[in-house]
Amino acid sequence: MSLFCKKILYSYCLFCFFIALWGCIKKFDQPETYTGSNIQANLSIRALSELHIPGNAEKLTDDWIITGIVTANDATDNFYKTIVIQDSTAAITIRMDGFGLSADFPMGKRIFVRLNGLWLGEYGGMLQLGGAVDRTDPAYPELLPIPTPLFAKCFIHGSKEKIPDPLLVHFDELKNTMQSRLITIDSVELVPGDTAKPFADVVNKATVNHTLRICNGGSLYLRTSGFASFAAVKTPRGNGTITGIYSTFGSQKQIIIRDTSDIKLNGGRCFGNSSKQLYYQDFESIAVGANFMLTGWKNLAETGGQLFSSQMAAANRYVSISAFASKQSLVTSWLILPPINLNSTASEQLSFLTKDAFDNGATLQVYISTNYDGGLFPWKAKWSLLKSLISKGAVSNIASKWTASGSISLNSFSGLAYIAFKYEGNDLPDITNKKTTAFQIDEIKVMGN
Amino acid sequence: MRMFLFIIFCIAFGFLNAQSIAVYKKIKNHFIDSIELASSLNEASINQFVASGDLDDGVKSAESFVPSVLNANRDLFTNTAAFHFGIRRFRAKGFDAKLFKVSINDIPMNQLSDGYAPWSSWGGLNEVTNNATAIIGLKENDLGFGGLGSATYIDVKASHLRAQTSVATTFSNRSYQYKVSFTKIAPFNKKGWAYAFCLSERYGSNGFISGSYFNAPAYFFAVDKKLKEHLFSLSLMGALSTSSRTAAITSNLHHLAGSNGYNPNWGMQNNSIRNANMQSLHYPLLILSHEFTTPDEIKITTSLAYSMGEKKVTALDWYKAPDPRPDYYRYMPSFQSDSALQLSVNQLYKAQPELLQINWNRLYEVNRNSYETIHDVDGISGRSVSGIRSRYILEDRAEQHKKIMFSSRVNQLIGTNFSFTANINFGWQSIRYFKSVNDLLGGDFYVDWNQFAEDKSVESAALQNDLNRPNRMLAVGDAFGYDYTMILQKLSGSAQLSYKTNRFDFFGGIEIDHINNLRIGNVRNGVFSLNSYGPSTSDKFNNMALKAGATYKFNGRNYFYLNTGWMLQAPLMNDYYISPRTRDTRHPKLSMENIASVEAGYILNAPLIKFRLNAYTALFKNGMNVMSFYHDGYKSLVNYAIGNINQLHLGTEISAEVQLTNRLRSNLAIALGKYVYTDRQTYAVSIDNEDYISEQGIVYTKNFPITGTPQKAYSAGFTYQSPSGFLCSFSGNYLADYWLSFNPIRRTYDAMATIPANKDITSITSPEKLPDALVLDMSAAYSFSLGKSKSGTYRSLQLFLSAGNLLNQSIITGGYEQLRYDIANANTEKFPSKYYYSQGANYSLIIRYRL
Repeated sequence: MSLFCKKILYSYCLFCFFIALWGCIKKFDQPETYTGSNIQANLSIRALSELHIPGNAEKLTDDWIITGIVTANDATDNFYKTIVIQDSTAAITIRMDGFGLSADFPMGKRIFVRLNGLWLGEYGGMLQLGGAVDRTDPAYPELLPIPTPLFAKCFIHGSKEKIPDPLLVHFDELKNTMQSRLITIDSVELVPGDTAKPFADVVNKATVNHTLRICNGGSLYLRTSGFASFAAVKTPRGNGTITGIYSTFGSQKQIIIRDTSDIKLNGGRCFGNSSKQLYYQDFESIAVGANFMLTGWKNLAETGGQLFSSQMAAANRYVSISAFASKQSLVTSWLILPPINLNSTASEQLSFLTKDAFDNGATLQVYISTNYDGGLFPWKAKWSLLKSLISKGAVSNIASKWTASGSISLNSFSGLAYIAFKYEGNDLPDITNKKTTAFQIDEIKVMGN
Repeated sequence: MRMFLFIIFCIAFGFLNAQSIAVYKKIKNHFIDSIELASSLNEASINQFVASGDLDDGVKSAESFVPSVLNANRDLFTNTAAFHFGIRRFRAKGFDAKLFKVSINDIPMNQLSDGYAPWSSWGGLNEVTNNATAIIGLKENDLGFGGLGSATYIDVKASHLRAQTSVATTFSNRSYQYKVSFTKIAPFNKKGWAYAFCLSERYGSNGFISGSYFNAPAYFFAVDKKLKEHLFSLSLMGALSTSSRTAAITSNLHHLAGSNGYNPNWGMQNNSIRNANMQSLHYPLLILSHEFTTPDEIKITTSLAYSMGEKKVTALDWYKAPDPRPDYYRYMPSFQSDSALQLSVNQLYKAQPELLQINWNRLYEVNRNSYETIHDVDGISGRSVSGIRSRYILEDRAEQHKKIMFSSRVNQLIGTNFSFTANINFGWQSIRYFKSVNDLLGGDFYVDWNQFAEDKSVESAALQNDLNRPNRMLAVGDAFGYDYTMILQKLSGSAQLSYKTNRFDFFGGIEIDHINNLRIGNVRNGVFSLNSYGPSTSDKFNNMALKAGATYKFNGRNYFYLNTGWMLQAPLMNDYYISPRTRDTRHPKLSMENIASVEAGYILNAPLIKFRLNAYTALFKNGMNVMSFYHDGYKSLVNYAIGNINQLHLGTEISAEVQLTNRLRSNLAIALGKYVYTDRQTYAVSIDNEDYISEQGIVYTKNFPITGTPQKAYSAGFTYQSPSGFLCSFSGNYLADYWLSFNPIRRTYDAMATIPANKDITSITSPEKLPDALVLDMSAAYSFSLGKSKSGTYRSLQLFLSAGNLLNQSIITGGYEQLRYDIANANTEKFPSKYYYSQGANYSLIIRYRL
């Protein structure tokens, strides 16, 4: 091969490998941040809603465009295949056939809707915008959601803006033109039967209506979907304000929250006490000097035969336990409170006082169980340890002061619950392994909202 | 030549579909052969396709020794099948690709995980990898035990390659648009050194498949040193391949998009095409070999190989956001039950076809609007981080391989009639499978959570992909999701003895393998906290295979043979780990596959007629498989462990070549097969968020066809050669009896429960057959002689043109029934079958300069 040929050949190969290399280092440019569209609305939501004839469904055939800011979406799944937008005049619910709508339609996003081809309709008197109408049952035309592929045609995204402030309304000001609006109602609380209840039925994925009562008269439903991420959270007992999307079903007024942060019911109730005492025991009625006995309580020895005893010092009665002088290699004893119903309250809290004496390592711990049958073998049930502050460190005497346990939350438990004090110690002859600490317990209290 | 058509198909589809790997591999081989053929045009050896040559005076006296039939490296049937049947992914005898073995310099290349040979890891190096010997079936074989399908022995030792300097350029309208390669092979010099190198580059973008991309530089270096009777060889090879993957589409979508090349995997980002499903791989392979021939003619060949590399496939992942894939079934017009909405959606796609592509700008926009606070980050109580949490990301599904392989072979002639071959092979392979973040698409972070578990369980532990590092925030490059390593080992030994008499050739062989597989979990999955992290117990298996056969050499033209084989084969790791991504659970009934095969045939090698007939049968018992897919009934990802897969493969292969005149010859190849599942299979379902078998039953598959290959194929063609050496051929090919791979759920008792009384059950259960296809191909070749160079070698410029699918038809090349099935409504149309569509008429032109 001539030198010239060779040169051409080698440069050609080099060129090709250069191209290959260039092909490898391909990095994609990021699109610029979207700043919105210069499209203009030519119809207000109020004007749109006035086009609707109650009980009817209308196809929109003009090139109207409405705009609004997203005030509710499916971020917590309390709204299903639905977003709500609001302008300065009114708000409207848009039915959309898709999941994860909060990705494209986050709260505060301005949206423009091209109405041509969409339908106005209603569900239980609630005005909605949809993609088509199913007239299978002519008496009840059903609005169908807008198919996902049509979003690209119907919706134009604007910039992200501030979510409009909720409209503060009194109950008697609520009217149908406020449908879908973000509203706040104050001086409101749940009726006693609906406090400390889950927001919705998470097991059966069923929607639940709780009744809200306004202090100076009137009531409406707090409606929550069983699919909502907060469906299992318990409703609060206090009084205050609630924010959400105003909705109607027939003549029934409803409010739908976006998240639990929409509920601020922390104040004192206008109907009934603000805080409820579920259980209280100061042991002042017990007979001193014997094994402790009180109606509803269980005082049981699992091993070692040691029971809690009733005692008194400085005119204060309390219960006490120790493995001292038992000559047992293992002492496990249970003191169980009468069952407490956690279903009618929320945010229950347990508190009690303890003192230790001659501490050498025995333990006292507090447990809760919702499957204990109240029988003689509590150790067969499933118990959960409750973190609490227990007196300790009085090595050579009796602790001089009572130690407060702190407020122990029972919020994650429901139903009929048993609370137990479990003592574990021993009286081995070997002084280094001996655990005979004595514990005294007093002032047991369970409060709920 | 015509084979280039099949190269296209192999590249367009072969990469994407494991089933077609066998075809792909063959194509490679035969592509090579075609080059050899064309390159030797000047030598005018037009008969070299015929297996046994130089037997013009082969009819000798009855007593004289008759030469044995040469191996089927250039077997007409195999060549035709590879070049002309590949469009329908023809697999010889209907066998699975893992029954086709490949080795390079004696090192077995089939992966210990899935049994397939990774052809793409040395793609583009045809000029050297063409130096191969293919042994079809369990025949006598002095290179190794062989494979039931075939065994291809590639030899890339520098001194074994044909000395040359050449440059070749390919222009094509297929999956790549150009290729250039430079090859230099220098024979032994006076000091006993030989060397070879080959560099190539293939490039293509936005070809027949829209949004496609192909870029694969490849390299090969080898050096040999001869020291007396020792030969030391060192070879290094690899390809840095980056290519787009193709998606199968439903016929509705094909119709809607109006193009065979429609591809939902890409979209425009800032005016350039971005493909979400790209594959990049690079597995450099280093082999050190030693050959030694003792004075008493014992040949010992030993090789040690090391390979390490990575394959990455990108895909979109998302969390609390709509499916970003434009071909998602809910976005199709057919998903709308309301006719008006169906029409609107249809019209919209027709008016704005860009909506059928990925909207990258939207993904960025969604991510930038997604501000979130993550609590207890990295499991540290109270640690909260706020920022833009990506809802869409591009992930890498990565495989990191490390391999050490050793092989040694002894060949010995014992006397004049016996020859003995023994092999020992050891392979150790470590494969780490994991996902990592490729691109956050405008976000600040992603979180290592399992979005499918979130809905299933109120316990937050289930949400964690890794309980050892809960709530981990992810940046680009961080591993997440699944992460596990498979350690696979195989030790095998084989021995063969062959005996040749004047009239008969006999052979017998045995192979024994010991296999040891182990999974090591690198994360503790929140759903399977007890059996996801750390090493599993190891699974040990012993394989055994036997083969024996005889050939009766009637004379130098007529041969009759009978070969038999029996194998007991352990399941491959991929066929018995139910869901290795999440846990170490194995197939509930581990069984060894039992294979028996017999083939018999007749060969005629006459001067004007070459004819071959091969009849075969193979019986497979107790195969197993695992399928993972989204189950509409359970509303979860499920794993179907299929067992009792019993198959019967029965058929005849016929090939003939007739020299009609001096210039014109005709050839014919026919494959008549019947491949069926002979029994009902069993299935056991485990749901991917619960660790127990939730359902077991029978798949009613008795007498179902083996799918994914035409069971019958016919080819007829003519080749004309002008006195000047111009070669031109034309062929018609007919491919019949192709069934789509079927969904087991539709063939279960449970599926029958929901079929309405008035509905025909067979509409649910019958496997789907593709229409038969007729394809016309042509090719032409010519070589210009450019005289002698100064160094004394002949220089030539060679041209090869091939054109495929001359009738410009839209042919479905393959596909599958979706495993997702609307069982509640017995509706097969909700998740209809998906298909791959062929390119229309296509061409490839190779220009090669050789000296």
